[in-house]
Amino acid sequence: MAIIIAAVSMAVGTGNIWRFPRVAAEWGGGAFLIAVTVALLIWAVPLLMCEFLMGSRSRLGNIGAFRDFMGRKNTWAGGFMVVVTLGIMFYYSVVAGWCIRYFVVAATGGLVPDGEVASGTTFGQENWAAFIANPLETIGYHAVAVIFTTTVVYQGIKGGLERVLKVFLVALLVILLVLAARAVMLPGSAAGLRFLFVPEWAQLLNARVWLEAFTQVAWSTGAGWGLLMVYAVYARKNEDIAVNSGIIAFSDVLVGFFAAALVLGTLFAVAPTPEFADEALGSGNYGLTFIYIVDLIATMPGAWIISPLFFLALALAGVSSFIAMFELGTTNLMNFGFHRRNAAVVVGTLAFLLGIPSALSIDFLGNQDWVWGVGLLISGLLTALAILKYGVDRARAEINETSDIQVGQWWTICIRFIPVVFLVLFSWWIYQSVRDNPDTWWNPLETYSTGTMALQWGIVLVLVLALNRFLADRVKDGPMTKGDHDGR
Amino acid sequence: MDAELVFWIAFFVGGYSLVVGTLLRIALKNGGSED
Repeated sequence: MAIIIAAVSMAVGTGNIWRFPRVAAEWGGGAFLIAVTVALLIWAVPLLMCEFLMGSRSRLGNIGAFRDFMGRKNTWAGGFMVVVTLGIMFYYSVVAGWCIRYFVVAATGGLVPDGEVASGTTFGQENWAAFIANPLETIGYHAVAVIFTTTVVYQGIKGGLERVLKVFLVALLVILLVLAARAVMLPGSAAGLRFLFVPEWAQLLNARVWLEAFTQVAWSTGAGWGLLMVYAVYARKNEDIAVNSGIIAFSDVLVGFFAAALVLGTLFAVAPTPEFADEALGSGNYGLTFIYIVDLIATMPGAWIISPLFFLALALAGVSSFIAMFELGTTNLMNFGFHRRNAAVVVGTLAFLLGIPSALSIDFLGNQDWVWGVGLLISGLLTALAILKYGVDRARAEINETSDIQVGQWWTICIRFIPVVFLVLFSWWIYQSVRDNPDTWWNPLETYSTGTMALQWGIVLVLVLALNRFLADRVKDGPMTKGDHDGR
Repeated sequence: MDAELVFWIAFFVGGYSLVVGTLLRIALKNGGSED
């Protein structure tokens, strides 16, 4: 059960609260949810099973697992996955810090306007602008997130992670359910719920809806991040891989439903006009959460309790996902001979130092989100390739050894199909980047260019390829290492 | 809330809850402690 709690905490992150409602409302409501369900079955569940199998069998972090499943020559793939996820962690700790800051300010009554604001602006805008321009605050809350997480991971799996994540997940679910129930009861909330649940059937013929659904699933469920691979190392050896992977993927979307009912129900009930609600949904993750929701909740009866609860839920979701990324770094270092406590301190120090640029510049944070967010698709592809190299039928047989639900031929087909899905999604993201920046898409110094992705991925790729032999030799042996297989 | 909206909420939330609930029941049946 502990693995399920840890893995669901890992998957349920801030994206469930601030991204899923926006994207679902924009891309056809129920039609988008149907596309999401298909994406869960084709991308997320099969990949989560791959990750679970790799961690559970190899009993090693990503680098060791890739070595033992894909062969020594391909150990670099595990290194690439680690860098991508840590690349996300370095800015995600800053984002987790923002959530903590908003919770603290809300809990102390600071998110209720108490005076005049300049014309043409709102309380939420002023509050956000003042916060983001204050490096002491942004770095300070980033440090709070890092210190808390270092302390949790430092204390180990049972004494630290399991204990904290159990409390966090229960608290998060209770808060989301209470706030969603409250939102649904508001007069006018039905308009928001219609956006979320009632299908616009014509949207199922829109390729963009499918691309958005697959992207949402790839980012939200944690499939391809390598995080479940690490948690599986600490799970029982005979843990039910198929059942647990299904629980993780479907719970993630189910929690997204409650978060979306909360966000969209509140938005459409409290927004002064439908146009205002549309504007809020179009303002991006941070704009919606830290500006529009702040302004809207402030006008509601009971704002004094709703506001801190909402930001507490966001902070719990953010920090629990941050803990998973942190543990990924720690476990991989432990595989190179570090003691857990030393590894946690090293990862914590790196997380703090390398997060500072994102704490100081929202453009830098956006750049890192862009580069490593799309990089996750490559990690997903590498996971599928590792299983293809290992033998997809052999992997399926091993999954079925421990599973009550026998995985059929569909899984084999999905794994073989994942490279095609990757190619379509990846090409689409590159196409968008070129289309949106026709003159600067090649420029590595532009925040959202193809050039900046190619440069940063290229540097990492060269480094991990150059270090391949070192990584393969130095990462410790696991139960599979001595039983050589093809490619070793 | 009109009938169409109630149906689709029940369809999606109920369907997902059913899947998660069934899988959780299997996982709990096989429960046990970690290594």
